[in-house]
Amino acid sequence: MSASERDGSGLAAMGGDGIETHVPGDPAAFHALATFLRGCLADRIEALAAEAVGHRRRLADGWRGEAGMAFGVSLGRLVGACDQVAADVEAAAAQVDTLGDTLHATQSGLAALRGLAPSRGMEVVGTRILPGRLNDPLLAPMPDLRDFTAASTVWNETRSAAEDLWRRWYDAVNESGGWVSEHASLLATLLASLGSATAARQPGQRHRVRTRAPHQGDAAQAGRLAGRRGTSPQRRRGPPPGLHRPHRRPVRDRLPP
Amino acid sequence: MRSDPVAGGGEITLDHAAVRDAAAGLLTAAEAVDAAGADLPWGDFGEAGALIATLSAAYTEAAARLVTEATVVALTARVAGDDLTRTDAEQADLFRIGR
Repeated sequence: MSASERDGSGLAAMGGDGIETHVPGDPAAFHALATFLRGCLADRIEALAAEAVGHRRRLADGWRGEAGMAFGVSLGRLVGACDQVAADVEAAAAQVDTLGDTLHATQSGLAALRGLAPSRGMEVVGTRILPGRLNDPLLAPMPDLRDFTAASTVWNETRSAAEDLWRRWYDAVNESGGWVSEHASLLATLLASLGSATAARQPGQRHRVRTRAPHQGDAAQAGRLAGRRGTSPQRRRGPPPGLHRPHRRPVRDRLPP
Repeated sequence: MRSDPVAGGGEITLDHAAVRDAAAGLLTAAEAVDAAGADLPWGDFGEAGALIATLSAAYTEAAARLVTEATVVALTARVAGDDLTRTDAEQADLFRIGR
């Protein structure tokens, strides 16, 4: 078994069956998700924070006393969490956009190799590039050595270029996987610090923002996320390191006085 | 508007209408975040499908936590603003439940 077969990547397609040039996936789907994360979810979370900031200011004089102060503290905690989550949602959108761009580049690159293949003496069957008849002893039993060498060189170059493209795509997916794992854990830590009813839920009881996506009921992912949350470190007041996004100003700083 | 003197010379002030407005505004904004999940787009993410599902789950979960927190704060404020039988300290304790 080759290394590419062991890691389960599309590089396994580089063997005797030719070079696979079809990469599943639609870059537009990535960009649509990034647009949603940035333009819908993050914006509405920011609007929630702005609402909290506005009422906190308006009630500074309208609710004095211990209860009024407790209300202000609760709103402040909510605003801080909203700012952090909104900033992280935008960072996630950037990750998704990058993945979409990389997928597009991979698909375009492999399509270009496929388009050039016939003119370089190779065959294309479906989405696969094959070495061509010079490497087939039945069809070309006595190929000229120079032709054979040239064809081998072209084949190896094409194969190497395809491997690079495939590897770039898999590297991007793997890197994003690490990013998502890290940030999901940081988010869980941040949100655990909110406490209140969210911390008082029964084990296994979940409430996710309503979705209609097909992954909605993915029990395995839900379990992983719930497990991460359940094993998060003890409560902390500040945001976990890594969630800060200095390029983004907190909502409270962007409101008129 | 309720205004009562307290020991030590301070004064408790409670603008019931403003508190009700705050609760209603928070609930509306929280509902908007909650409803955003219905617009979550989905498509062919190829080899990144599992990764994207995990990412989407993480952020919808985070948004849901914020929705829950905002709702709890809003409903607590509404109760505290409408209830004239509790003392100021008892109302403050309502905000500390679960913390």
